Amino acid sequence: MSVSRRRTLGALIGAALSAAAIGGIATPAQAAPAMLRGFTDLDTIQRNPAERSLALEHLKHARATSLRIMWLWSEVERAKPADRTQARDPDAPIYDFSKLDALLRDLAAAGVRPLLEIHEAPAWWEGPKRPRVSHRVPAGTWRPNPTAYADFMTAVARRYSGSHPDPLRPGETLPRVRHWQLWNEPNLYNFLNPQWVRDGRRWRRVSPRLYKRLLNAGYEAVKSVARDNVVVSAGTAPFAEPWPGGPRMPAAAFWRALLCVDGREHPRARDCRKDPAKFDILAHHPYPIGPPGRKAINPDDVVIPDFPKLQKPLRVALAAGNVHPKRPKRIWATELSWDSRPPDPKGIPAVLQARYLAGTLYVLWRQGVRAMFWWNLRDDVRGHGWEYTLQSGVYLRGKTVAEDRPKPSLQAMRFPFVAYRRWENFRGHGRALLWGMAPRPGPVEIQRRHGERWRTIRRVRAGQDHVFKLRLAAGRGVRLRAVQDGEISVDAKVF
Amino acid sequence: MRRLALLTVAGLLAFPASGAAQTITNTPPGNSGLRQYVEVVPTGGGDTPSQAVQKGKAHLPSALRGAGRDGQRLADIAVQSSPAPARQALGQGRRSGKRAAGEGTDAKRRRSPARNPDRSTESDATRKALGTALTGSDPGGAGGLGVPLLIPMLVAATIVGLLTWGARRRTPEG
Repeated sequence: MSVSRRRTLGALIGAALSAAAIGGIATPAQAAPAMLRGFTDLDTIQRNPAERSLALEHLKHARATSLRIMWLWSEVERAKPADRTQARDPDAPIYDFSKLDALLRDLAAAGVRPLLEIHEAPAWWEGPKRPRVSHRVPAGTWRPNPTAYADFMTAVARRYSGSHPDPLRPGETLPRVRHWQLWNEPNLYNFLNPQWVRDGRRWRRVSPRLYKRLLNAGYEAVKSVARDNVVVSAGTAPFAEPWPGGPRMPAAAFWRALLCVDGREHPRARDCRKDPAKFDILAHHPYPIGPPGRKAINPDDVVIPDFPKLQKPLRVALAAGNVHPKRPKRIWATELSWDSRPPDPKGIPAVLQARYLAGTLYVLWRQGVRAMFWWNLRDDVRGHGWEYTLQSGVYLRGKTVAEDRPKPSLQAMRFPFVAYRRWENFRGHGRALLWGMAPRPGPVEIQRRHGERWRTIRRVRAGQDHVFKLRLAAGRGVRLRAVQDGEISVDAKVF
Repeated sequence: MRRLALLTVAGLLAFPASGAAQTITNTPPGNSGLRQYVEVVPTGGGDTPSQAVQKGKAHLPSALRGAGRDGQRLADIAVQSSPAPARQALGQGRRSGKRAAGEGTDAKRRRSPARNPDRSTESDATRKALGTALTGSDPGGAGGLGVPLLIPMLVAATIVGLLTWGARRRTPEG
């Protein structure tokens, strides 16, 4: 088989696996879009049951099908288990699942699929020689015990296996959770410590090893309950200090260490087949600096267009058997956003936020990333100040959810559409690449703005994955949009 | 349009100078500004935090002088062979050792040259960062062109490009 054929076959298998993986989380009634869209919203959907149902309607209005839930292990486990049997018991009195039960019930009622992420160990499961809890070493982050995490994840996976009785509704069962994300941003001091340890005169990477133990223990636990559960790795944070010993570790370096791969430009696998990293989907948080196409400055930082920095070592590790199961892995972006102005005076204009969001979906799609979870459905409360909170919602926050107002980025999420020129068209008279993800498969009209009027200039067809792509003559500054069955995309200005 | 192009060229020429005054974190509009999601540009000191570079240099002469006559000589060589800003800092450090700390204006003067070595690393950092962004490789690393060479080349290429473009615009087409 030739290399190109092998690649095509690999891509087809990958696409099929992707569809299978996404299928569980996407709306089953119609062909799944190429990109799964979701949100994280701690403030309202997670913590405010009174406003939850309307917020979930807003989430679905944005054509998102999934909510990423971030839950604390320490919030559920109120006392140390007497033994491992009790630790694995989903009904053990040491656990308080009431709030999580309620949230998952509401999600199930709204038809929104959860991606359940769990981190932060209770104090009794942190490792020895723990420094005093501080901003630099927060609670629940110091060498969490992987066996205890596995036991806890077993209890949670059993509770949300779809067959566990609902304690508040006799005769009914608690909802099923199929997608599990194990821990959060393990390359940051905020979530896992220590990142580095000084060994004589050198710094040694520790967090990849600590995280691999958690990941593998959690993987076995979740899969032991249902083999078709899907394990998503913790999303790694994008930026770090470019020197050893800092409070953060660069994402690409973190993943290479975890996957037993050496070498940035020419990755080579070490033999870690006896202890492979276990996951189904690799996740990362490409919080951007600048526009969606702007690459990170540091070679091991990973922002939106930098996913090959993770994909390359992953391919090498897979080929060497350093990853289990040994089949192509999907890549998800489980957190990212830009703050908008209003309300954040240091944010980007709301219209630009919309264009960046659409551009993000395109750049991720182009790299084979198949899910994007936007951080915040609605803006955070200002709290201590703009710099401490994220004003990145697709809804401008009102006093209540009912008073929220949509930002232009809402339409970018619903119907993303972008137009980029190629470099050779620098003079602005060349052809532009148009890409969009329509609400459904079928015909799409491309319209161009002339003065105050929009005129249809081309008709295309969105495929089964809702994606349409074409090239047409359009210079810099030309404004275009896509229309399907009367629904209008976010408008794109040719960059 | 031409004015914009000229401004761009001026900006490129001024870049190394203005870069020296920049900090090493990067938080453009729209970035959350939360500490964990802030990009940190590498320092000229390589894999060493800029603070450590400053600290090490400030302590070097006093540590050597404590090591007998040879140490004294080595410290003098170190001071004399350092780049100008660092030499100033090392020289001031020696004087400051004899004075009481916190002497109002004098104390401020002492602190400002001590920052110079760090500033130069920030300038290096910015150049290195620009080089990395432009070439996709570490300009200081093996096989790289190196930013000192790259920037003039870029500026020259931009000027030539703009001149060509201007000439083509003046020439009536067809």
